[in-house]
Amino acid sequence: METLLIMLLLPFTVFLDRATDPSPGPWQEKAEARNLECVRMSQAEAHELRPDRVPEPPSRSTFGVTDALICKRRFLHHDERPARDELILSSLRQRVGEINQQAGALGLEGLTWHVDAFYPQPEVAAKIAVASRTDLAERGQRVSDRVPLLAAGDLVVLGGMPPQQAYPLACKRYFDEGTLAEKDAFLNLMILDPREAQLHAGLCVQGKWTWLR
Amino acid sequence: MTHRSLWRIPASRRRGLLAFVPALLLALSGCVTMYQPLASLQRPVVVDPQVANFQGLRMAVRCVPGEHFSASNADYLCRRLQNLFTNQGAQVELEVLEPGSSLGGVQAGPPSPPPDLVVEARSRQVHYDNSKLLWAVSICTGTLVPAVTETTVALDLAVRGHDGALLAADTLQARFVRYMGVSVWTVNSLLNWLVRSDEEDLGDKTTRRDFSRDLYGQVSQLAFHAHMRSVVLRGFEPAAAPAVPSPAAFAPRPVPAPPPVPAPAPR
Repeated sequence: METLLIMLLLPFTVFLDRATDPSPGPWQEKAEARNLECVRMSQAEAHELRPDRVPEPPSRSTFGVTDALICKRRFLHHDERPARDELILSSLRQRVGEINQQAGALGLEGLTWHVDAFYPQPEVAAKIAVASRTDLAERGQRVSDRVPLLAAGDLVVLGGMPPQQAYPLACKRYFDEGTLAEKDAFLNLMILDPREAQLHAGLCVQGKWTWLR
Repeated sequence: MTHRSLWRIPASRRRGLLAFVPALLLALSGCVTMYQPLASLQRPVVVDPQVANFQGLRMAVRCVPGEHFSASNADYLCRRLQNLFTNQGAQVELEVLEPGSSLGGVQAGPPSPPPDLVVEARSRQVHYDNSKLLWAVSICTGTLVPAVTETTVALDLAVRGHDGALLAADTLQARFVRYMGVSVWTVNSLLNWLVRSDEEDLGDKTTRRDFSRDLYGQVSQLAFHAHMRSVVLRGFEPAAAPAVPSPAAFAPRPVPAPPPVPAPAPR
């Protein structure tokens, strides 16, 4: 009887040893495992991050030195926001940084920057625009909160055009109407297709439209 | 057969029998592979791989074998990706390159027009762990103590335009933990049967399904992003690619469900 009990308990030694493993298993559902962000790193790096959990690698030999999988749980689970919003917002800072860097590389000096985002969900569009303005300000640019507006008639005409025509024409109209002055730059961030989750960008300066990406 | 009768067997047959025991244990024990998406693979996907996202587009899929990515595996992956993009309306040619060879080399015969998009795939092993001690203990205990093998692989993807410009790149990483043992197989089967829903089931079959769904979804999304970027960089010049949709396409619509696994071509 004791032998049988010991044999039945044997697997649990391994199961308990694997209890902290982030992969799905008896202690972790698939959905939970998908909401972990894990990075594999050397034992030395892992020890610097979590000295309480990862022992210091031995200084005199390489025996027993391994690497570690460091995981952290996401604040927002993947299914809490619509997929496209999640993809846009989860890397927003990095993406707007890249776009602003590209815009800055055009060598435009002494301009006042205006930013607007064209995205199906207005709340997300507002977040994109604010993120871009903040990043521009951090780069030392003069940024305005004002968003240039067009007349209703212009919007009706532009709404029926494909993006490749609508954005350059809108830019021209902003300048012609005096909504944008010579020292204004208007950065537009948008998605062009509902199936994509990446931001495109274009810049309107002195009535001339330039696609950045 | 008693302990004494075992020793009456001739030594040569006894050795064969003893070698047969671990093999029999392994054959009788089950194997359960767990899949954990690491970098990028667990991201949601917007594009639906079951619709014609690349209608009329000329694409090339290039797989580059490496140290832990054999030519046969590269060929297998390339054919799957070819099937994936063909299902989405593209005309796809595939190429399995030798390690270290340059892309876009001189071709024999009449020059064909360059593909609109080139998807380049390289795979590498990031981590491998397989404890021989645990295997020994597993065999000694009749696989009651499971043996554990852990592998982390990375797939480096790059999508280039017809002129070779890099349009999009990403690295997808997946971790596979394989448990081998009768105990783990039994416990997992019982949990699958009694506790878990079909979607939450764990095992080799669901591992293949989940990994395929993640991989094909991410590759499709990456290729679609590259396609859209090439459309913009070309200045919206008409190509074989589908036209950019009108603003009406932005009307609110439900977010697509995670894509089902595309039907792979039989090898």
